[in-house]
Amino acid sequence: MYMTTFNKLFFALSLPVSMAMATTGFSQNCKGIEYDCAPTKKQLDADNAGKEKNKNNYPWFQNNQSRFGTFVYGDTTFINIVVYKGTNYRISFCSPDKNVNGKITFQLTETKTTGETITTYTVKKEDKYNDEGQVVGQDEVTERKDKRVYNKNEVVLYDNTTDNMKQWKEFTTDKTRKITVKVIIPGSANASDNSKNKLSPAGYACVGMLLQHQRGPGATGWK
Amino acid sequence: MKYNKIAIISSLTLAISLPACDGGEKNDEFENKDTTEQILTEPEPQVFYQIPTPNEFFTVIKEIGGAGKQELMNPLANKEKYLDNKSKALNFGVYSADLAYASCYDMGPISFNYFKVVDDMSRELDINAAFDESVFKRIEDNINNGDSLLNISNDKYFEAYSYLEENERGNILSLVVAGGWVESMHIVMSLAGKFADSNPIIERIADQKYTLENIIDFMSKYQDDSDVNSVKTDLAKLLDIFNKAEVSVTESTSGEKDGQLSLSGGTEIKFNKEIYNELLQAVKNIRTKIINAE
Repeated sequence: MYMTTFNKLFFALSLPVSMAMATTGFSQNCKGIEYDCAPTKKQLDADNAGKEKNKNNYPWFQNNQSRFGTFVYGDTTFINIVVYKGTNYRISFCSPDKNVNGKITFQLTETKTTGETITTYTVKKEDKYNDEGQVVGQDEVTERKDKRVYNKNEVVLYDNTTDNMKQWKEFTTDKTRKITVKVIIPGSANASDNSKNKLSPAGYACVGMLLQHQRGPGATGWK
Repeated sequence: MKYNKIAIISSLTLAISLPACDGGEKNDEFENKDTTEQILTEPEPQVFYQIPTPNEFFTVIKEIGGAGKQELMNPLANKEKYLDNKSKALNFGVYSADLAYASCYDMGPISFNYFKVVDDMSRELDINAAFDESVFKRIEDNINNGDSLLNISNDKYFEAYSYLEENERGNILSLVVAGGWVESMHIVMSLAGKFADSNPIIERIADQKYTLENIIDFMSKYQDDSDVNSVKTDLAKLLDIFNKAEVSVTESTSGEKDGQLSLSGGTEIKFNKEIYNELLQAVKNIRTKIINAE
């Protein structure tokens, strides 16, 4: 795919700046943006309308696996988190950049390793001996070799593109698991609006990921 | 690091392309730099490894049981042994985990002393998350309120974490995280007692394999630092023990239940007595090495 000269220059100019920040994914100006990501009560009520929601009035706590960062438009980021069995989680995304806010794509995925045995057969010729130990001909011998091969497969547990681009999701898990949150920052053809936004200068966007946790099903002795 | 390479290539491209802006002929030269374009447009995705805090681990364990036992914590007097940055960073993590444990299990006055040592060490490590007078006042006011103390310790741990990450001191941060995790494991394994198949705390300890994997992946970013690399090597030995455990895999499924997404199936890690005891001993050895600054 070929780019216009303008686009090349745009990348050349913006990348050194954004890379310098994106190396760690952090920007001082962006700090704390994740606190603004929690859905409002109105949004939650609208989302829960008509659902048989399990009543749970335990408070939500901010989880320290939350993150904020500055990313190039169109960037894809993978955030590996650990979620504990029997705990409820809520993950939400936001950005002060109007080109990005509400349009962040995210998936919750898990890597599964599956093993399979691959069997190969090779036919070899072996000398045939008589009782005196003399070679009298050759036999064809089939040799079987079993090799265990492990494949890593990505299992998508949730994808917000199939859920009206919802910017948050509540979930619970019956086993402690390592989840990879795949985050895609929308690409922007027109970044001019951002030049006035100190948090999101043209070319890159500040994004927050808030993870919250709450006592979940089956928990006992919570204080 | 690939990103740094890309940044250098980007800067070079910028330097090469700027003079080309006024001349038509040179623009053609710029147009032909397809190799550079490919690298610029296909940067390697960023991957982050997040690690649950000791506070979260203790909160989960407290749901099951356990008790506050000061003898499980690193004695405050050991602080004098930590003279270099490596031992200071590791033991800042250790004391932070002790503080989380003491706060979680309502050990008010003991917590106060650990708040002080964590505060001292954050100053020594030049972490701008030291407590001010108002925080100590809050601690004193809430000395018998474990939840409040836990929140304060959690906030401070998070501040220190963020500060180190923002200031690109990932090598120190990875040592802090490693020390905190080893201390949490030492405490929780001590609380679990002898191995029993049905012990839910041991089940939670087995789950720590995921956290350990994230810690090791996180440390890999800074393994050029010899201090980080030596600790990472020790932790990798623990992961080898975890990897000996039996793993049962069922199909991962997700679906709406009670108005929220419910994730089920997946991998379950099960220790047997031999592997558990091997891990127990290995954690003990690493922890001894850390707290004695060996």
